[in-house]
Amino acid sequence: MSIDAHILKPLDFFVDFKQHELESFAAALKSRTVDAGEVIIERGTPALTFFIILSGTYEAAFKGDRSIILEQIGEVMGWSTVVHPFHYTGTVTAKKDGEVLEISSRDFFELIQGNNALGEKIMKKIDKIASERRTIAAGSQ
Amino acid sequence: MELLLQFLSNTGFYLADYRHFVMLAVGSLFVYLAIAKKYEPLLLLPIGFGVLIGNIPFFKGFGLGIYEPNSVLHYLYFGVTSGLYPSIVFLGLGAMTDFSSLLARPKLMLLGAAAQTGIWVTLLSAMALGFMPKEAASIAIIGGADGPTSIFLTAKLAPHLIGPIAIAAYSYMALIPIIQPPIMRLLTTRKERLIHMPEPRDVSKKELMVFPVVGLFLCCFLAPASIPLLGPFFFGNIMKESGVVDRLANTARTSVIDTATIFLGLTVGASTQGDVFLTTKSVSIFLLGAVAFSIATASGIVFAKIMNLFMKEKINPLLGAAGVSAVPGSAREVHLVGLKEDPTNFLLMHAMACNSSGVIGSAICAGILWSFMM
Repeated sequence: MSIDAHILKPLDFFVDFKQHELESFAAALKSRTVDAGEVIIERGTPALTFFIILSGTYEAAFKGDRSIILEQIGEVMGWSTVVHPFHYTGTVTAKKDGEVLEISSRDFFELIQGNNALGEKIMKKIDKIASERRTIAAGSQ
Repeated sequence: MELLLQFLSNTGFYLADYRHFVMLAVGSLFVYLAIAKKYEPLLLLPIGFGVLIGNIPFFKGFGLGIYEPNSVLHYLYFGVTSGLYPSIVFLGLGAMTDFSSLLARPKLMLLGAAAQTGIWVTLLSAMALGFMPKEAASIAIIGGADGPTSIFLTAKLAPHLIGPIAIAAYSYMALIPIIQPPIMRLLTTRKERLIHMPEPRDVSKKELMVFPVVGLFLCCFLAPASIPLLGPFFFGNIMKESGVVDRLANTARTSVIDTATIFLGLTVGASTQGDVFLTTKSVSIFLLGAVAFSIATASGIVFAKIMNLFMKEKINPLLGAAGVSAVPGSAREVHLVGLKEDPTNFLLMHAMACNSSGVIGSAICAGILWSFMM
């Protein structure tokens, strides 16, 4: 199901997005409900989908038994969909029922192709998040 | 008993030879990679299943094979041999491409042109290796790293090579993350990889709308034979940028391009019948294709370094690698290699400029080669 841009506006990730950018991104996103206990990302598998949390609680477990809890609205999961290493570095399991927005890597790169400036803006944000998460993942080793 | 023997002699089991099994294994591998490994599924699934369809043994003359007139597969294959599917794919590509970064910094267009050097070097190499000029031109276009353009030109010049050339072109597009980064690192110094590009200027809506018309005139007056590719490409782009036919633009970049991709992949896969595909020529095509793609990547980088000798404001030479037309894969690799050196160096938008000019550049080269070789 496609989503409206107004859903994105209050999310931290999109705080500096212009209206037309929100609309372009929203058109590529789909919403999905997630059941408690569902594994939505599996470590080591090809990273093909990027997620944004709308509701629910999620545990991201990295190598070496280190894990973090993600439950803030607007937090993202699956950053390696768009940056190296292109496979998931952690396993994400839903702890409660929730809802996420998702975009496939193909749709993401088509978005960049169709709107270079928006693509770069999103890439910069994701790269910042990726650096933070890499630090967490590396902390276990 | 005689009827039974006749039935058995008409089955695929009786008609099969080792080439069928080799190609069926290749097709199965593609299907496996697409489904189990999710590796380029949009390309590998249709092509892989096409390979399976095209390599089921059958008795000739019954109108079943892709090369037999009046067969269903032959009619579908007409979209390849006529150049119809590549034209439709270009329509969709135009409707999904943003030229703002190219217009913001037009000099990056030169890198898209420079990367086409791989095509011309490979043309000469293939001819030196004994390929006929039309075959050599079809092989050389692999250096453009553009599947539809390669198929289009091969259909016009050397249709008997469509199978291996298409498979080689798409393989190298899929192998960009493996082939390009080592060449980028080999040909650039760390200092060069750290060059930051200035923020591109804002491009007005008017510029974006005028570009498809000007681009069409400039490119197609230069190489009229590129009209079947660049005509639909710029038409798709003006649909996107004008904003007055959003519904059509959206259809072109989704349903239309997807439909063409399905039939293009399936029939190209089916065209790889063992008896026409498993030849020493195919091996040479794969090797020359790798050379073409590598030279294309290298020449873009080297040209950027040459430009830097004369320019006050230096260009990050990594951008030259995005001059091939594999959109947006090569732009993404440039961006990632740049980020690896400096996490604050975002080259994506600049690389997209080179990448989209590479699409135009390889289509122009295809047009020039076609008109020269006819």
